[in-house]
Amino acid sequence: MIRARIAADFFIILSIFIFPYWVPLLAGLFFLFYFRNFYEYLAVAFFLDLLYGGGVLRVYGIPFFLSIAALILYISAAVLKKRLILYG
Amino acid sequence: MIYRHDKKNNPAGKLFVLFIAVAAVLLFLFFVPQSARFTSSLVSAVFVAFAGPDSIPVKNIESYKALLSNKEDIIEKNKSIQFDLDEAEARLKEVEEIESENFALKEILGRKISRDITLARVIMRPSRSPYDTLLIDAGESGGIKIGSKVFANGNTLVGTVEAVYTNTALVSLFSTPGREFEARLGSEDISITLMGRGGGSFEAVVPRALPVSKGDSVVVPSLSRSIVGYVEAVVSDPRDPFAKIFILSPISISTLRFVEVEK
Repeated sequence: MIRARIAADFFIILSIFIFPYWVPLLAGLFFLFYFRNFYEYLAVAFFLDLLYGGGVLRVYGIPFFLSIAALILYISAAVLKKRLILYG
Repeated sequence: MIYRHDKKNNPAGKLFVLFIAVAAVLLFLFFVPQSARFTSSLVSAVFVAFAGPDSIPVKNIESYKALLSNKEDIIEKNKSIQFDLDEAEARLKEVEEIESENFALKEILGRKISRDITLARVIMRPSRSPYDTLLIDAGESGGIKIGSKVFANGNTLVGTVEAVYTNTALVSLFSTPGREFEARLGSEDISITLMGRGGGSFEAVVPRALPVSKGDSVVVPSLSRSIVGYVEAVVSDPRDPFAKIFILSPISISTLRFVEVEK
């Protein structure tokens, strides 16, 4: 499992530099369900926020839009995983 | 009955701690802008080092691409580029002539304008960014300041500098969704409020009685002519006293390679 996680991290880091912002975020969403406590997702969203928004710009008036969205998704995924029999 | 061991170690508590930690970091960066500036400058430097146009990985990928591409394709592409270049050069001469005439007229009227401009390469375009921003390779060291106007192809105003780092700067485009600013429409200089729609497009609401037609220019009110875009469509309803106009920048933001930044 640890090897898969390292590979996932490597892919996500690489995709930040190569692909548009939504690729690492979508891939991360998948990994959120695949791995336990995928904290990397929050770090990726934070990195993208600082890179594209410089910490000063807003989307629909919300600062750190991606980080906040990632946190909501992370918590939702954790709650969902608790309720799904797949993760029993 | 299925007994789940993972429920013993209170995951709700862990989530709450995580939530508080992330919220604390974001609030700190929000209320202490210097720390946000420092962190984003660091992030930007890392990005430029790995994915900037002069970075080793990008140069290697480009050289491999050149090795793999077909010779005939390259010749064909070269011909097409040469054709476009000839056309652009002819147009440029025309524009230069008008520009020099414009300067001469302003000098006669005693309204001389001098613009101190820096040319910058675009490292990252909006197609990659959720914020409709450009990352350019000129920063504090190049004399760029927060709020400087950013132009493309000479006099097309595309945005303003929002964050400046040592060797890079972040440009917020006027077309950022929700961004509003004042502009003048057509030859009659009608005041309108433009609203960004992303990717170089804007919209505005004007009284239906106003004579607006496709192709009318939209400029920013200043002495030097700064084009924002041209009217692409006018949508009106006979029951509505207002019409909606859609404006498109003459610059293709998704293929923009260089910009000029006013110091």
